[in-house]
Amino acid sequence: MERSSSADIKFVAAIIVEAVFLVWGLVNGVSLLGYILPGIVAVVCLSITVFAIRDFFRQHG
Amino acid sequence: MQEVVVNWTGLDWLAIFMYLSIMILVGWYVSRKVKNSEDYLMAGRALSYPMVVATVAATWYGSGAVFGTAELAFNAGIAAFVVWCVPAHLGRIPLALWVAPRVRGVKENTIPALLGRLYARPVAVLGAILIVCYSSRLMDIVSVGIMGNTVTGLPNWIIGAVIVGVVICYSMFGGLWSVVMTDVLQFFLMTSLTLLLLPGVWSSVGGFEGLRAALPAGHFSPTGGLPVSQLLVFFLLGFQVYADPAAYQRFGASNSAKTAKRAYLTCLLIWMAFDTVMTMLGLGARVMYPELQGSKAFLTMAINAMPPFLTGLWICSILAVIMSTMSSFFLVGATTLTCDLIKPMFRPSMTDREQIRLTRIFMVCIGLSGCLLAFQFSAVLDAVIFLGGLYLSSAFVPVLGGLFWRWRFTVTGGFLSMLGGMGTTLVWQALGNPFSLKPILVALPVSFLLFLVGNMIGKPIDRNAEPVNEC
Repeated sequence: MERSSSADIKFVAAIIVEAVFLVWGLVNGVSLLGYILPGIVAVVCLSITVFAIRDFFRQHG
Repeated sequence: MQEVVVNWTGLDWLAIFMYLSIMILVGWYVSRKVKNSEDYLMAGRALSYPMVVATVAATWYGSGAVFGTAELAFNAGIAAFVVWCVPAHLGRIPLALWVAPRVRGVKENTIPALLGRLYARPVAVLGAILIVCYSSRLMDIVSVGIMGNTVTGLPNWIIGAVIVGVVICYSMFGGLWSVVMTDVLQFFLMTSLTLLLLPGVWSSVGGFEGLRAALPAGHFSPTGGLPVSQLLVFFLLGFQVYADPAAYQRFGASNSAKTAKRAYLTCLLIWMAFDTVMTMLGLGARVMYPELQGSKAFLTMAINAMPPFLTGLWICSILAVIMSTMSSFFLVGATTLTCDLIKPMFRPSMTDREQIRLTRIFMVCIGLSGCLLAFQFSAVLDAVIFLGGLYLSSAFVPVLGGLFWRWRFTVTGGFLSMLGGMGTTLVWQALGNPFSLKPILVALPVSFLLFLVGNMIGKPIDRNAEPVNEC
C-alpha cells in the first residue's frame, strides 16, 4: 500500500514538474522545445503502442 | 484573403484508403477473439496498462483538442496552453487518483447503471438520454467534414458520411475490443505524425525569435488578454471528463484499479506535451497564414509542408484523432441504449447474442443521426462548449455525489441536481447568456445547490443495493 502511494506521489510530482517546465519554456521562448518535444513524445507513444499490441497477443494467443 | 491551395494527389488518396482499410481489418481481426457480451461491451475487463493509456489518450483527444488548441493559440497565443490546457490537466489528477480506482471497483458497466443503483430509474433514464445525445459526436463529424472539404474539395457531408461509415463498421465488429485495438494504432498515428510536423514548421518560422518578430506581444502573455469569465469556462470545461462515459467505460474495463489510476496519470503527462506542440503549431500557422481562419491556417500549413503521400498520411493522423473519439462514443451511446434503456425497461431476459446485435444496430442509428444533425453547427469550438456544458452541468454533481458523498443523500437530490443543471444551461443559453456569463458557470452551482436541498427530502439511499442491470 505504501509503495503504491509513493509511486502515485512520484507520478503527480512528474506531472507538476512537466507543467511548470513547459509553461516556463513557452513563456521564456525556449526554441529547442520545438525540436526535441515531438521526438520524445513520438518515442514514448511508439513504445506504449508496441507494448499494447504485445499484451493483446499474449492475452489472445 | 489568402486562398487555400492544396496539391492533393492520387498518392494521398492511396494513403487515406490504406488507413481506412487497415482500421476495418483490425476491427474485424480483433472481433474473432470476442466470445460473449462482457468481451464485446467491456473487453472482458482485461485491458492492460499500455492498452488503457492508448485508448484513453486517443479517445479523449478529439477535434476540440487538435483544432481547438491550435485555433486558440492562433488567436490568443501561448495562453492556449497556460490557461486552457494546464489547469484542465492538473484538475484531472484527482480523477486519476480517486475516481478511476473507485469506478473500477463498482459493479456497474455504465454511468446510467450507477445512477440507477444509487438513485432510481428516472435518474438513470435521464442520464442515459443525455449520454446518447453526447455520444453523437456532432463536433467531430463537423470537423472531419470541414477538414475533408478543405483538403479534397468534396462536400462536407460526403466526407462526414464516409468517415462515420468506416467508424461504425470497425466498431461494430468486436465492440470495445475492436475500438481499443484500433485506438492503439490511432494513438501512435496521431501522436507521431501530428507532432513530427513541428520541427519543419519551427525552422520555417525561425523558432520563438521569428514568432516574436512576427506576432503581437499579447500572444506571449500567459493569459492572452482573455476575460476572466472565459478563463473560468475553459477551466470548468476541463472537468467534464469527470462525467465522461467513455473514460468510465475504460476504467471499468481495466484489469485492475491500479492500472486505471496509473494509466490515467500517464495520459496526463502525454496530453500536456501534446498540447504544447499544438500550441506551437497554432503560433506557427498564425505567422505563415495570418489572413486565414485558425483551423484552416493550421491545415493549410500542415498540408503545404508535406510532399505527396505524406500529406495523405498526415491527414490520416488527424482522422485518427477524430475517429478514435467517434468510435468510443458510438459504442458508449449504443451500450447505454441497450443496457440502460431497452434491456431494463422492455426485455430483462435479453440474451448475450441479442445484446450484441442490438448494440450494433444502435451504433448505426447513432452514427446516422449524428451525420444528419452535424452540419447545423458552424464553429467547432462553440459546439464543444455547448454540448460539453449541457452534459457536464447535468451529470457532474449526481455522478460524483453518488461516488463520494458521505452524508445523507436521496433520489430527490440526484434527480433535482440533474434536471437543475440541464434546465439552467438551456434557459441561460436561451436568454442569450445574461451578464456575459456562460451557462456552465451558473448551471454547476445550481446543480450542486439542488443536490444539497434534494438530499433533505425523502428516504436515504441504500448504497449497497444490487446493480439494476446485468449487461
